[in-house]
Amino acid sequence: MNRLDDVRRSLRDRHAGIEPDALFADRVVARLPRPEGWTIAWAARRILPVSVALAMVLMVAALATSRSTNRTIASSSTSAIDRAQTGSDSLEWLLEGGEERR
Amino acid sequence: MELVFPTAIGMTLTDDRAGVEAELIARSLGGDQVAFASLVRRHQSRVFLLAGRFFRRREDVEDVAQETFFTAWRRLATYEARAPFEHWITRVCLRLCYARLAAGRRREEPLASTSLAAPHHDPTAPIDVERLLARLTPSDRFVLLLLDGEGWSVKEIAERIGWTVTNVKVRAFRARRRLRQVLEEES
Repeated sequence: MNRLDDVRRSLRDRHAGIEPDALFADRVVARLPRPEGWTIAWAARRILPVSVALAMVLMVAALATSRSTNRTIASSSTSAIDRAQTGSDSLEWLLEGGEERR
Repeated sequence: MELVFPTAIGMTLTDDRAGVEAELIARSLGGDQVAFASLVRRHQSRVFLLAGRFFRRREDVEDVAQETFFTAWRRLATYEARAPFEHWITRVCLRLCYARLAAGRRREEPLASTSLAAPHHDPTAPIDVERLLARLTPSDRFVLLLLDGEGWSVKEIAERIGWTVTNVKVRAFRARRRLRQVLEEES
């Protein structure tokens, strides 16, 4: 049967002729489920630098704050001493003056 | 046909290839996706060639090929290495092609290069093979494309799909009978 042979020949030649592109394997791998612990490792890799940077910023900020606080405390204590000294002088003066006036 | 070249140390390139492949499979089983990507690159052409027998559109062929390797990744532990990996991946691909054909999820578009429909009264006109295939059941199409398209014997089909020889013979007989009927109706 010639037509049957023709069909068989056509079936032999029938092909889409599609080749995989260079990125096909990458697309397959992208679909695969990630191994256990991958998410944690990925998150750690992503979060760790940010955490370290944030910690350093906070540390610098804390240092800066503590220095300025120390300075404020130091200056305020100095002025308190000054004030105390001034106060005692004026008290002395007042007492002395008062005595004179009296 | 595979060419085998002897090497200086008495091994063959085929042995070496099998060794590399076995290592890639072992690493893939351990979760190494880079090794699996290499395995995909080794077999992707064969899988595309096979899927291209059954489907005409690039999306369909790519979908089947991706699904083949995705299934292979999930079921790799079931590969027993008694036969070459290529046979195993071929079986996975064929089963997916058959399931897709049977599900009839997409209508196949005929190739632009195929001949036009044969007029009913002209037996000498070229045969529109796409139209003939469209009139067959997915099972008939599948078997005919393996028998006449790939040129496999009944035994080869049985081995590669995992069906019994009798099952393939019955399917092949029915498919050929149906094809003859369709041809008679056309002419």
